[in-house]
This record gives sequence, structure tokens and C-alpha cells, in this order.
Amino acid sequence: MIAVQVDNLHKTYKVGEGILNALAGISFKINRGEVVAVVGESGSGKSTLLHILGTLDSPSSGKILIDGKNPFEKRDKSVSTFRNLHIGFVFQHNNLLPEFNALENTMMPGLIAGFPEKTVKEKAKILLKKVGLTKRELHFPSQLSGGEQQRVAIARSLINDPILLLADEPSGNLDSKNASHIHELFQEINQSLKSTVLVVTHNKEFAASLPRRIRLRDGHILSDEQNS
Amino acid sequence: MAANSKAIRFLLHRYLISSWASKSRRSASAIGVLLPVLGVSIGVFAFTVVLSVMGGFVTNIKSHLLNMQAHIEVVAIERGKQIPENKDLMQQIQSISSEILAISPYQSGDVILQSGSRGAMARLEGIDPALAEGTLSLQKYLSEDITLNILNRKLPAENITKSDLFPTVIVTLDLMNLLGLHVGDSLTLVSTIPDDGIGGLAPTQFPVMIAGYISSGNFSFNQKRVISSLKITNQFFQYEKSWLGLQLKIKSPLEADKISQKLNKILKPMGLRAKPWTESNSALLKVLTLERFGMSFVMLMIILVGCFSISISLLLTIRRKSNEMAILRSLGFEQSDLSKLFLWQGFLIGFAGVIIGLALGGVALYCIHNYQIPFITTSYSSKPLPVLIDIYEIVFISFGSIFLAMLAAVWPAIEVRNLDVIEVLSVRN
Ligand SMILES: Nc1ncnc2c1ncn2[C@@H]1O[C@H](COP(=O)(O)OP(=O)(O)OP(=O)(O)O)[C@@H](O)[C@H]1O
Ligand SMILES: [Mg+2]
Repeated sequence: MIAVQVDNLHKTYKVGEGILNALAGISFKINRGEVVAVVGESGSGKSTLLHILGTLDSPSSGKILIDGKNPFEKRDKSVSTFRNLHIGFVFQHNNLLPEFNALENTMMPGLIAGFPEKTVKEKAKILLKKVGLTKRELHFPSQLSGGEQQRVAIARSLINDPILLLADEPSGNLDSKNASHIHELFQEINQSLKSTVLVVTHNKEFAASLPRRIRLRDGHILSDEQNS
Repeated sequence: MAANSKAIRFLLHRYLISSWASKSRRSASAIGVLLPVLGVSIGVFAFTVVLSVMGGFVTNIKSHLLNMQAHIEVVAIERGKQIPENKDLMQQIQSISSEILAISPYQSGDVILQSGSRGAMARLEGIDPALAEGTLSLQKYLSEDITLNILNRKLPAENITKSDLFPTVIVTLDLMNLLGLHVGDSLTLVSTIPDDGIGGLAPTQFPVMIAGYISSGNFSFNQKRVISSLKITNQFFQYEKSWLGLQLKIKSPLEADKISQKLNKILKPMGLRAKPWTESNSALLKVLTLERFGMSFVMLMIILVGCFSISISLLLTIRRKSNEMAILRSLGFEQSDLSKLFLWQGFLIGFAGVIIGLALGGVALYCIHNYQIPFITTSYSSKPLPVLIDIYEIVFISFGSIFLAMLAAVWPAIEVRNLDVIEVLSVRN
């Protein structure tokens, strides 16, 4: 089963007089349940790719299919709904809403979807337990460490059982100990929940530990390595 | 599918209400929520208080006007033309409309009052004391112990040793004070038009005695009135038995215009016309309306300023919370959900402002109405101020303010749609 299919994806920006190819024709496929690292130098187009796959940004040309569906065939309304139900995001930092505690932050996508509060709450508790934060449920982001905040963000990204989990340098802001904790968490999630994960990382060890690496350079795929 | 309204409610509740519990966010809430709420409530407060006090004032003026004057006067179309005494005419007019409660004849003209070396211009009004009881409600303004009936009598004057009997008049208190006279004193009515009779061009002089006075309290308009009997007035002006017009009292004074129109259909062919009190006092009523309009305008401006503070605070909130707005978008919020979030904030801030403003206004009006408040009361009257709360006006102000508050949130609601999620995410990453 193919979870993600990308065909000749372009993203161009007008910069002054000229144009900049942030993504210059990218194609690849990701199967269901795969964990893929996206690596590359700064400015190579990793975040741009993630934003387009997450429907936050739209392609200049080319096609993407997520679970066989093209999310951009729809208008903004249904694109947002698609994102809400099928995509989970984890960014580098400041992922959480400061006015809401860990449990409420985790519940938010479920509440936006309009699922019954009770079920969403139960599920959020299970996920927070999975990321090891049961005791921190009622703590606000300002009361959590950077690593703990990232773990809440991971729990939140899973609340609606997304098809695709997208993480943009989720451990980029953390010390090595907390970073490896997050890395373990991603592998654990992938194994227990069979989630499809695309994670941008500068961490060589983490990238090497994952079964597949897509390397970008100047908007092109430089290599697509798979551990055999 | 839009984001579930429950999620939006949850966010609103947290942003507007429970964020107060957190010390670190309290000052942001104070600026973002409390100040605009106060802005609106001050406007609503001022609006209700000022309009209600003015309403009380105007109603008071009108009720005095309606007591001291006829609701409708019937006069000759030709200005100042006398109408020969005609009892049938009175009955005929009264039979036109069942709205007419009473009718009485009157005479009126300018007069100079003279007492010793002092003098004053005034309006001399002749009434039929018995019939005027029905058309004018002067009784409660009359000095103690007298009724209009005293005008039928002749009495001796206290400041003149000769024990002649003089025709009686009732004067306004202002006039009495102006001339330095007291009840029981005599004074001389002098005509403004020289008598062109045999005696040459000498003005008519006519001694009368003050039998009582009229005092309208705080509302001393028409300050220079001298009231005497119709008979005496006619004698003074050297008219045969005639009237300047008829005074009518009607059931509902506010309908005076309509009833006058009805009367006019029948009166016009007879060379007569009906003049409602609103016409006689049109200048005053216009000024009052204008003043009210002007006040409303100023108050509206205050509310507008309050609403501007909503715009400003919400626009600042977008700046301050751009990261959170971007997160919400990444979690599945639509642009329109963010807009909704801001429109609701405008509505709720406006709503809270109105409720607080009305509550404060209510308390203030209660105090103004029931207690003497220094500064306000002394400069205007010695008693607590009259207050008239017009419920329609209050409803109008309330809904208007909430509407303006929502309008103030439209700009932020549009602005937040333009939030560039990618840019926000890129800047922070
Ligand atoms: N809005 C924009 N306008 C112009 N150029 C842009 C815009 N957004 C991104 N770019 C350019 O596109 C290229 C790819 O950017 P992107 O953020 O995807 O890089 P990245 O691989 O995520 O880098 P990093 O590792 O530093 O996060 C960069 O050269 C960047 O300058
Ligand atoms: Mg990046």
C-alpha cells in the first residue's frame, strides 16, 4: 500500500528579478508504515517538501497523492479538514498552545474534528502515557522542558490516527540525551502504531538508524538510500 | 467541514476568561480584553446616563408645558384677529372629536407693568376662570390658598391706603420678584398701544391687585405672564365681548398634531385654525431634539473609540499570537475558523462591555434619581434629578454597541485570514 506518492514536484519562489527553485522536480513513493528520514544541507528544500506534503503549502507544479487522494483538488475548507484528519505535524519547537495544558493540547485536533470530548480525552491520556507524560497531563507548556514539550507535540500529532506523520527537525532544539529519547519514540511509534513517518533531521546517527533516507540538494533528490 | 464550534468555544473561553488565572498571561489579557471591554462599557454607561437624564429633563419640561398651556389653541387664520364671543362655536368644536376634554376662551396681548419707578413688559392673558380649570392644569403651580376663581373678585390693595377695590390678577413669581412686589400689592397695567380716543395719545392705565402667583419651580419658562379674567382683559384692551381664541384640552397631548389636522378640516372654512402645542413651542422642541441628537452623536463617538480599541487589541493579538494561529492552521483550522475566532472575540468583548456599561449606568441613574448628588444637583435644581429610561433606546444602544464591536472585529478577522502560515513557521524554525 502506497501512503505517499510524489510526482515531479516543483516549488518556485520569485526572488527579486529571478526565480528560485526550492523544489526542482522531485518524485518518490513511501509505503504505508515506512519511516523515512529527509536529510540535506540547509536550504535544500526539506521544510518546503514537508509543508507541501502537509498541505500547508501548495505545489507550483507536479502532483502529490496521499493515501491515493490529491488533497489540492479540494478547496481550502476541505484541505484543512484533510490536514486535520490525516496529517500529524511536529515542528522544531514552540509546537504547543501556551494557554492549554498538555492534555488539552493533545486533545485539540480531536476537538477541532468534532469528535466526542470523552473519547478524545481517553485517547489523549493513552497517548500521553505512551510518550511518558502521564504525570504532566495538567502542566502548561511553560511548565514543561523542551523535550517534554516535543513529546506532547508527538502525542498530539497522533490523536486523529493520521495517515502521515511529518516532523521537521523534532530534536533540533534538544540536547543529545533528550534528542535520542525523541528518536526512540519515533521508532517505537512506528512499530506499535504502524504509522507512516517522514522526519527531517540533521542528526546523522538518527538518520542512519532509520531504514530509509532521502537526501536533498538544491531542490533535487541526491540519493534515496534504503537499508537492506 | 469547519472546525467544530466546541473547539472554537474552548479557545475563546481560554483566551478571554480563564487566562486571568495565569499570572504570566494576566497583563496580556488585561490589555487584550479588559481595556476594550472598559472602552465599550464607558461609552454605554455615558450614553445611558446622559440620555436618561436628558429624557427625564425633557419629559419634565413637556409636562410643565402641557400643564401651563393649552394642548391646542383655536385662533383666527388672520394673525391676531379677534373672534366675537360665540358659545355655539365652543360646542361645535367640542363635538368634532371625542378626544377634546375641555374647551375655554382666552384673550391675550402685550402689556407694560408699572409699579412705582419699576416697570416690565409682560403678556396679559385673559381666561374664563371657571372654564379654564378644565383646560389648564395651573392649580398645582398657584400660590397657596387661591384658585383661578379669585380672578372673578375685586379686592383692596395692601400698599395703597385708599380702600378702593381692584380687579385681581395672578402673575408669575419671576415677574413679582422683578417688580419687587408681594401678594396683595397693586400694580398698574399700561397699554403698549397709545389710546387714540378723545383724550389724545395717552396710554391706557389700569390698576390691578396681585391676588396670587404662579411658580413652575425649576422650569421657569414663559416667565412674564399676567393672568386675569377674560372680562378684565377685554376691558383693558378695549375690546367688545371677544376672544383671541379658544384653548382645548385633549385626552392624549401627544396626538395634538393629528387632532389639530382633523379640526382644521372643519375650522378652515370658518376662517379659523387649530394650533397644537407642538407648534407654539416648536423652537423649544427643536432645540431639545437637536440637543439630544448632538448628545447622542458625542456618545456614539465615545462608543466608537471603545470599538476602535477592540480593533487595536485584536490586531495586536494577531501579532502576539501569530505562532499559535499558525499552529491551529497546522492542526486543521481553516482561515474562516480563525476569522470566526476573532469575530466572536469582538462580539463577546462588546457584549461584556454593554452588560458592564448598563449595570454601571443603572447604578448611576438610581443614585441620581434618589439622592442629592453635590455638583450635579445644585447647579440645576435642589431636588434629585428626574430620570426617564427609554427601554427602546437602551435596547438600541446595546445592540448598536454590540454591532459596532463586531464591526470592529471585522478588520482583525480579515487580517488573520492573511496570516502566512509558512512564513510564521519558517521564521521560528
Ligand atoms: N517564501 C520564500 N520565498 C523565497 N524563498 C524561499 C521561501 N521559502 C523558502 N525559500 C527558499 O527555498 C529554499 C528551501 O528552503 P527550506 O526551508 O525548504 O530549506 P530547508 O532544507 O528546510 O533548510 P533548513 O535545514 O535550514 O531548515 C531555501 O533556499 C529558501 O531560501
Ligand atoms: Mg527547514
